[in-house]
Amino acid sequence: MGSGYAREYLPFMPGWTLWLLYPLFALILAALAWALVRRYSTYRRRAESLRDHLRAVPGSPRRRLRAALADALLQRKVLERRLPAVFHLPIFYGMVLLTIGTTLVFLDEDVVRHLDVGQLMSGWFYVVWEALLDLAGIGLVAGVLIALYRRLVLRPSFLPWRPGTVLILAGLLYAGVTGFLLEGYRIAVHPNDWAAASFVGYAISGLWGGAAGEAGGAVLAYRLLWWSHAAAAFALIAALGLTGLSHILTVPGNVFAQDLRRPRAKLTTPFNLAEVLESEEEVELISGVAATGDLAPAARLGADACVACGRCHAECPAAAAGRLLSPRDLILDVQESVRWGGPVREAAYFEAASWSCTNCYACEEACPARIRHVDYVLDFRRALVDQNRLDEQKLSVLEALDRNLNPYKLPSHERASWLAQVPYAGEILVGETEEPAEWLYWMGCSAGYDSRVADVALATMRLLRAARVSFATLGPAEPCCGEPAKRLGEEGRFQLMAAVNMELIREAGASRVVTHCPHCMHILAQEYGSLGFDIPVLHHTELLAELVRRRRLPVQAGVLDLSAVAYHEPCNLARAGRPAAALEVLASLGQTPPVLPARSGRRTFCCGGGGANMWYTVEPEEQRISAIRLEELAATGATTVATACPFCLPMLNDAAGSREGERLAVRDVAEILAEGLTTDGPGNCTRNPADW
Amino acid sequence: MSPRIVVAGYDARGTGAAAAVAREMADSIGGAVDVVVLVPSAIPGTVEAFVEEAGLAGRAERVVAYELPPGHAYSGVTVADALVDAAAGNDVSAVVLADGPFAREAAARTAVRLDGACASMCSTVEAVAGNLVSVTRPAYGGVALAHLTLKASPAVVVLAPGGASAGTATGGAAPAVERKALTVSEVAGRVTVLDETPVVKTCDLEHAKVVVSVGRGFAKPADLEIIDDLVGLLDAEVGCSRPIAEDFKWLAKEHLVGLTGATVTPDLYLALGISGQVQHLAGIKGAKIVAAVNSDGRSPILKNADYALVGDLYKVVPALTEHLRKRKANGGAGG
Repeated sequence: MGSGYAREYLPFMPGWTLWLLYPLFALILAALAWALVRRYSTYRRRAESLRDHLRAVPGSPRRRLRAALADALLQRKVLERRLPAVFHLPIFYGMVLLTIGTTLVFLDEDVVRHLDVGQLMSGWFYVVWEALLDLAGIGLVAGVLIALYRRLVLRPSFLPWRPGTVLILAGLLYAGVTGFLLEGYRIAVHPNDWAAASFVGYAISGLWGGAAGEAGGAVLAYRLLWWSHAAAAFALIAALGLTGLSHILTVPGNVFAQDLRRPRAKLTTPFNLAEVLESEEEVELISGVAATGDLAPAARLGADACVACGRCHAECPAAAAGRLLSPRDLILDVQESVRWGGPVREAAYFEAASWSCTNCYACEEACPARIRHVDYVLDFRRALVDQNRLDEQKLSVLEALDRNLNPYKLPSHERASWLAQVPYAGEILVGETEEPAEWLYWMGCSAGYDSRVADVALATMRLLRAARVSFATLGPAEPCCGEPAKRLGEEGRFQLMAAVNMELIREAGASRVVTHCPHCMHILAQEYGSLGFDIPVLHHTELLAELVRRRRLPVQAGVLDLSAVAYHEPCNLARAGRPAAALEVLASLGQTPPVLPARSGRRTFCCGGGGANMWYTVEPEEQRISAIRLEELAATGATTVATACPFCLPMLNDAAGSREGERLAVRDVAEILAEGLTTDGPGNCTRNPADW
Repeated sequence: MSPRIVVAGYDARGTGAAAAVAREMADSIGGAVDVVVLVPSAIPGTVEAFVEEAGLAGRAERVVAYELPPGHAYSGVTVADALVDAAAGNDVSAVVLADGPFAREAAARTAVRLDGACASMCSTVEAVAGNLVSVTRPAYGGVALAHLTLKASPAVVVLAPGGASAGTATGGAAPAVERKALTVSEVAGRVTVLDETPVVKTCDLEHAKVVVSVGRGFAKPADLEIIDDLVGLLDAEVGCSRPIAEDFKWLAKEHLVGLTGATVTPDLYLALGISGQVQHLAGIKGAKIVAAVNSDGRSPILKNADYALVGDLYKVVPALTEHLRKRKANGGAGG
C-alpha cells in the first residue's frame, strides 16, 4: 500500500446519496428474497417439497454440488455450441467479476474503512483490479451486443421471441455502457497517474473532454446517469428472482437435484410391481402425470430452469419432421403452468406432443439446463393410458403384446420359424444344449418376424460361431422384452412382462446376455436393472469389438473398402454413452474408417422408429424422420449405410426405397463384419451367406 | 303404474334391436316399452317412417320424438336429456341403449341423473326378481364374461355392438307417437356445433372380399390406371403399401394396408409390386389367399404368398385383366 493508488468513492455525488441508495438496495434485496421464496414454494406437490426430493435422490450431495458448480462455472453445456460460447461466457464472467468488484467497493468503503485497518482498493492490487474490471465490462458489452444481434437480426428459428430476455439483455447493456461513461467522466475531471489502467474509461474520458466538470449542468447529467446506472443494476437484481434470469440459480439447482448415475436413456420407474404385490400395505399404483398439478417437485424445478434457448427444438427429429412437438414448447408450457401458479394443464393438452416423441433423447443431450424432457413425455403418456385415451393402433399393440407376445400382431407360434432351416439350430437352442451356454443371445421380436432382421441374426450367429463363443438362444420361445409397453406408458403391463422374462433369462443359465437390438439391450440392462435384474447385457457390436480385440475372429484386417459406407449411430447406443464399439468393429475391417454424417456420436439423429413410433402413425407430419436422416447419410457420398439397430435398419431401408436416385444399401455392422470372415471355423467353411 | 323400459338408439337398426331386448324384459315383468327418438338427428325421413324401419310395432307402446332446439346436435348430453325427460314421473326399471355414437356417454349421464346403475357392452340383458336387471358383459379385456346384477334402479345398459340383432319384427299394434320439444340442460350449451363435415369413406378394406393392393413397383401415379379394369372385374377394393399412401401420397391413407393401416381379411389379396416388409405382412395375415406379383425374386412377399409370380406387373396386369374379361364373357363367375 501507500503508493497513493486508491479508489475515489462516489465523486460528484451529494453526501446523502448513500442514505437513499442503501434503503433502496435493502428494498430490492427484500423483493429478491420474496420472489425466490415464492419461486421455491412452487416446487411442491401437495405435501411433497423439493427438500423431500433432495433427501431421497441417490448420490452424494458433495458430488452433485460439484457437478452443479462445474456446469455453472465452467459453462460446460453452454460451450457445446459455438456462438453461445462466444457471447454467454463473457457475459457470465463479466457479470461475475463486476458483481465482485462492486461488492468489494461496498466492503471497502462501508465496512473496512470503519474498522480503521486501511483500504482494500489501493496499491497495485487496485490498479490491476481496475484493468481487469474494464476487461470484464468490455466482455459484458460485447457479449450482450452479439446476443442481441443474434436475437434481433439473425433470429435462428429455434429461438422463440421472448421480450423479457431482450429487456434483460438491454438492461445489462445499459449497466455496462453507463458504467464506462461514468468512469470516463471521473477520469476526465480527476485525471491521475494510474487512470490508464482503466483503459476503457481512460479512452472515454477523452470523449467527455470539456463537457465534464465539477459543477453545473454537467454534474447534474452525471448524477442522473449515475442513478440510472444504479437503477439498471437494481432492476437486474430483482429480475434474478422474477424472470428467466433466475436460470443462474435454477440451472445449477436442477443439476444438483438429479441422480447423476442415472444414464441418459434410462426411463423412470414409478413403482416396483413385485414389491407392491408383496407389501402388506395398500398402495395405490400411480404412474404418470394427469395434469401439471401432479408434477413432482423435481419436475417443476426442471421446467422452471428452462431458458428457452431452443437447442432441444433444433435437435428434435419430431420438430424437424413438422410434427406437433417442440420439446422447447412442451417444457415452456409446463413452466408457464407451474411458475407463479399458471393455468393447470391436463395430460390431454400434451397428447399430440407426447405421441410425436421418438424417445431419442436428442433434446436431453442438447439441453444446457440438463432437463429430462422424455420424463415429462412418458409421464403424460402414462396418464393418457390411465385415462383410456389410446387410439386403436396403440391399443392393438398392447393387446398384441398380451396375446402374441410381439408387437407385430403376428402369431407367436410363427416366431423365428426360419430357425428350423438353420442346420446348427439344435446346438443353439436353450434347453437343447448339453450344458447352459455362457451367453444368451437375445434376438428380439424383429429378428423373429422381419426377414431382413433375421439376416442380421444369422450374420451375428455366424460370427459368434466362428469365434467359438458359447451361446444359446430362446428362439421361438423368446417373448417381447416389453419395450413397446414401457414406452407407450403401460408400466404395469411392462413390469409383468419383465417379471416373466427375467425368470426366463435366469433359467436359461447364461452368465451374460448379448443382443443385436439396442432397444432390447436398453430394456434388459437399464429397465430390468432397476427391477432387480443383474445379468450383464451387451450389444452385439460390443461383444464383436471384444472378439476383434482378442483376435478371436478370423477376419482379415483392412480388407473392406469403407470409404462409401456411412455409419448411422442408433440413439439407444449413442445417448447411452456406448457408441464406440460399432465403429471399432468397422475400423478393424476397413482400409479407412467409415464416414460419419454431420450429426453423429452423441448428437446422432433419430431414424424415426423409437419411442414405440414403429407401431403407430403420427399425424400431422410434413416429412418422414427416416427420410430426413437418410438425406444426411446420403450427403456423405456413401452408397451403403451401416447401422446397428433392427429399428434403424428397416426405417432407413424403407426411406431408401422411396428416395430418388441410386438406392442406398442399408446393412447391419454384423453383416458387414461377417463378409470379412476368412473362415467360419472348422466344419462350417462356407463363405456364402446364401448357402445357409 | 306399470313399470317402464325406456329405449334409445342412434339409428333405426340399433333402436329396433334395443327395443326387441326391452320388449322381452317388459313382458317378463308386465311392463311397457317407451322409445325415445331425437329429431332432427340421424333420422332422415319422418318419425313414422323411422318407427316402420325400426320395426317398433308390437315392440313399443309409445314413441316420444324430441325436437332438438336449433344449434344443438345429437350428443351424449342431449340423448341423456331426452331419456331423463321420458323417465320423469314414470316407474322406470331400465333404460336400454343400442351401442353407437355417444351411447356410452349418454348412459353414464342418464344413470347419474336418475340415480341408477350403469353397464356397457352388455351381450345379454334380462329383468330379474325384485325389479332388478342382470347383464352379461366382457371382463379383463374380453378374456372372461362377467355376470352382473345391477343393484340400483333404474339400470341403464348399453348393448354390445352387434350383440343383439333386431330379429324379425313381430308385428302388432303400432306405438303411439308423441312429439315434444327437448329442454336441453345447461351443460349442452358448453358445446356449440360450428360445422359438420361428413366422413368420406371411399373404400371399405376391412370387409372387402377381394383386395388389389399396389406398391412401389408402380413407377408413377398415372400408372395406377392399369389396375382399374382388374379392380372392376374382381369387384375389389384398392389397398396399398405405406410408401404409396405416406411418402408419395398417390392414394389416401384409408387405402393403407399393414401394421399402421387397415388389417384385411379378404378371400383373395392380390399384391402388385409390393415388396412385403413385415409391417405390410402384418396387415394381410387374415387373407385366405395371397397372390403376389413382383419383379424382384427376393422380395419377402413372394415367400409369404400362396401364388407368387416373378414378373413385370406392367405386363402381368393387362394379361390378367384380359384373361378375366374373357372368362367373364364366356359365362364364368367373374373370377
